[in-house]
Amino acid sequence: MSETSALPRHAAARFAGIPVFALLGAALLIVVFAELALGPVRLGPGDLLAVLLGEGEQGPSAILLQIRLPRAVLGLAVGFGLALSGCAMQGVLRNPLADPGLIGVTAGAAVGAVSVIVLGNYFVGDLPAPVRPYALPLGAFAGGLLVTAFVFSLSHLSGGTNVAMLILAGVAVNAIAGALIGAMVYISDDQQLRDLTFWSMGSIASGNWMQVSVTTMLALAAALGLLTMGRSLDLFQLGERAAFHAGIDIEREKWRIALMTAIAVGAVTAAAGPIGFIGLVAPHMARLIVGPAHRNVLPAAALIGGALILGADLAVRLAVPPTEPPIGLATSMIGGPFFLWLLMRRLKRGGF
Amino acid sequence: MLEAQGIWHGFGSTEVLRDVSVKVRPGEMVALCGPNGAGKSTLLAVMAGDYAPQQGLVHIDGQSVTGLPPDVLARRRAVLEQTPTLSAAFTVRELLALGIPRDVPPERANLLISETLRDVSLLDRADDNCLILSGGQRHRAHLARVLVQLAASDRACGYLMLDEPTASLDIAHQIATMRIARRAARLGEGVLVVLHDLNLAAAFADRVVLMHRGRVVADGTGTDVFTAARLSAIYETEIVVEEAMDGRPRIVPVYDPDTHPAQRA
Amino acid sequence: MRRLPFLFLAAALLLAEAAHADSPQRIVSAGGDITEIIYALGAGDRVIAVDSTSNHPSEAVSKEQIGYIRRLAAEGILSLQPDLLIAAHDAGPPAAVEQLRAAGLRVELAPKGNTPEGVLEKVRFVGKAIGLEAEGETLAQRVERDMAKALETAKGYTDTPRVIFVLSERDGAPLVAGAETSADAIIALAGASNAAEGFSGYKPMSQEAIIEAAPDVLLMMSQTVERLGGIDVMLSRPEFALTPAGQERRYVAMDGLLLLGFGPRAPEAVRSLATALRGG
Repeated sequence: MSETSALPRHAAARFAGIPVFALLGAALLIVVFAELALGPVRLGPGDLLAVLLGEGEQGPSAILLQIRLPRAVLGLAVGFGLALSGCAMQGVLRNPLADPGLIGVTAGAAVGAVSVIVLGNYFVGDLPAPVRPYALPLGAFAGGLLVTAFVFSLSHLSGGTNVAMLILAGVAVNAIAGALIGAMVYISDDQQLRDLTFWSMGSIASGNWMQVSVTTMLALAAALGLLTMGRSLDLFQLGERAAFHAGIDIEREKWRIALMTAIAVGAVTAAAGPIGFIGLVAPHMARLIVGPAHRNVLPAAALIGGALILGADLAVRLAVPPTEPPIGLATSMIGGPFFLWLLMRRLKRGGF
Repeated sequence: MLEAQGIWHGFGSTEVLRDVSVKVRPGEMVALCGPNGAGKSTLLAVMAGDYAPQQGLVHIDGQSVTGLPPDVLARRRAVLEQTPTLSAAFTVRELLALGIPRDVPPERANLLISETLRDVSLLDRADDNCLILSGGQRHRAHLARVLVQLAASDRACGYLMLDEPTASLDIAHQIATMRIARRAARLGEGVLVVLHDLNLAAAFADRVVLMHRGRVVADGTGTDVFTAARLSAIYETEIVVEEAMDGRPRIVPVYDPDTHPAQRA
Repeated sequence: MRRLPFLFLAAALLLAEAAHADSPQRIVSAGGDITEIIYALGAGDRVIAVDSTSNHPSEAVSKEQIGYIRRLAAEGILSLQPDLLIAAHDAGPPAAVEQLRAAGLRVELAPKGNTPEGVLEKVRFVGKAIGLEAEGETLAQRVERDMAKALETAKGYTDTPRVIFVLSERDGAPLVAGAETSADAIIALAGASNAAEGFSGYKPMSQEAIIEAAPDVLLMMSQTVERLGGIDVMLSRPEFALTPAGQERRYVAMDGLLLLGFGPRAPEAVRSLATALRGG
């Protein structure tokens, strides 16, 4: 059922755990550095140094501190949040194709966020400025949690989820979410429509420091929580009943994981719009590198997710300056074919 | 002692267990036998604490199983499902590590794993991916996981609950599995094992609990429980019980009444 | 005393900077109406980049492209080393505008204006922003005179045709202009009435509602006509075929920016729309 071919008889990578993580960490650092150093505006090493020392001129300082740094920070939060959420969902559902985007959690979060943008005014008048940065993640969290709870309850009822059912449930959830968003778009006024357009195009550029810090705080808190779930996720691989026999409180663990993934996906989606496939690609690459044990897969997936997001952002920033295509374009371009490849491989092996 | 008392349980309108009481003492191996649908697996699940019975109590060393948190319960009983599954490409060693609580120091955990793997003759496959093992070996690896869960517990004895552990195995693996379970009983664990093979039950169990339509119809040694009349009645097919050379009963179904020697005699 | 030359230099630089601020030389313009005004003021050569809605005059199209006005990329714009971003009121996202300001770029967002007065306001605003205040005033006065004449022309017609403006199509339903849209405004200025009543903004309108509205004329942007398959296809769709507009084949297709831009060509838009609506 699972990846026999993906693992050598002796998974050498696992014995060299530390170098592998050092390498992944170094790779991430390089991408972060590239994100800060490269861009349509050319900044020399001198400029970078000057800014770091607090002596930069206004132009370079602003580009580095107001544009690139918040992007890098938000990108890391997005990468960590999505990768770990994907990893946790795949673990709980025992299903390597579970991705927050594919099974509709992102769409649920999107409905939540769009509701806040459009309906926020109906219920509470114009939101006061200090609340606004929290309202969007909160709405997205609520929407994401609803879908996560639904999907997890599917696995409860059937004692496990097969790929076809999960993907079909995702299709249904995505369709419902699409309809709700459509309804929201329909009743929105000009200003809200504009906010929606900004938001739905998905970008980690739409961050001022206030928004970036709220998102990062939430996503990192959830990420830290998810990082401690390694043993539970390993045990879930035995099936829910056997996992209970081995000593974990299944319902409680599922709720904790659902909450944390919803917080992570909600925060990230509220800030950066719907970004697909990172939650699918990063854990898979992590498993190929460090083997299946979640105490290794989780941190590796986080590092890879961060690097992938920043890499994708770098690509869209440098592709056609001075314009900037949506980041979702880049992630889907990598993620879509990857997903198809996974699907084909499972089909060939009769994985359904 | 692991004890179920007056258990009633049903799903929907179907009564699966009707006033069932079963005891398993430390060091004792109890076989749970009976036709399909007799309620054996449901009883095992109730006694494992999977869900609370609609009526009745299950106690493990004097405490209610449904009142114990899962991690505490896991130190007192371990359960091998009928068809254990694994969705990740763990090595055999990693699979066994799943049975060991987080607070056990790694050196002790490794030692326990190695000892258990030696006991089940899988030490040479310790670092192999579980998915490349044969079906029999994989089943044995899961059995080892369950054994190591009890071995890691700091309690003097625990209870091992096996649901049809021999169902998909060839004869050699069946015997190997039963010997491993027998050994656990000798070391002080209480073993409750659901078995379809009545001869294995007669050969290995200290006591046999025979179930039929949700009730216990007999509880005692294999010789007492397995009588031709009783078995023929509850399995609704003709069954002959002979005495084997070791004195244990040997249960033989009558395949063709016309050619069976007992009939001709 | 050795410092003196440096002081002079600094002062000279400061002065240059000040002159620079008054009369920006590297302008990024976002918004078709804004770009038009800059060109009308004769400052087109100072424009270094425009957004994707700026397609008039044709020289503007060959400038560097910064993409869609509502999806500006802060660093991309900064990389062009502009000294002014002048944009329509709906430029965004807000965070990008904030970041551009934080980076020290002068950003001017023009007032919203789809009324004759609004056009004049925009012209004066742009003139002032690029250091051509007097020219702006002159242009505003000319636009004002032209507009008065155009409105006169429009008023000369005694009929009030009912017009339906189709922006595009969403899920197979025509996206129609309701109240509070530029299309609604220009229709009114041309002495006609908007047949789509009872909603504001651009909304998909049902076939029966369109038939019920019974428009006399179908108004579209020429770009959209092509995209939706040509005017014959549009007029033969049931929702239009069953209206007076469809039966008499009365339609007007005009350039989108001219029709809805409310730039310096607004008087021309009013006049030609008023004429075209009457079959001129």
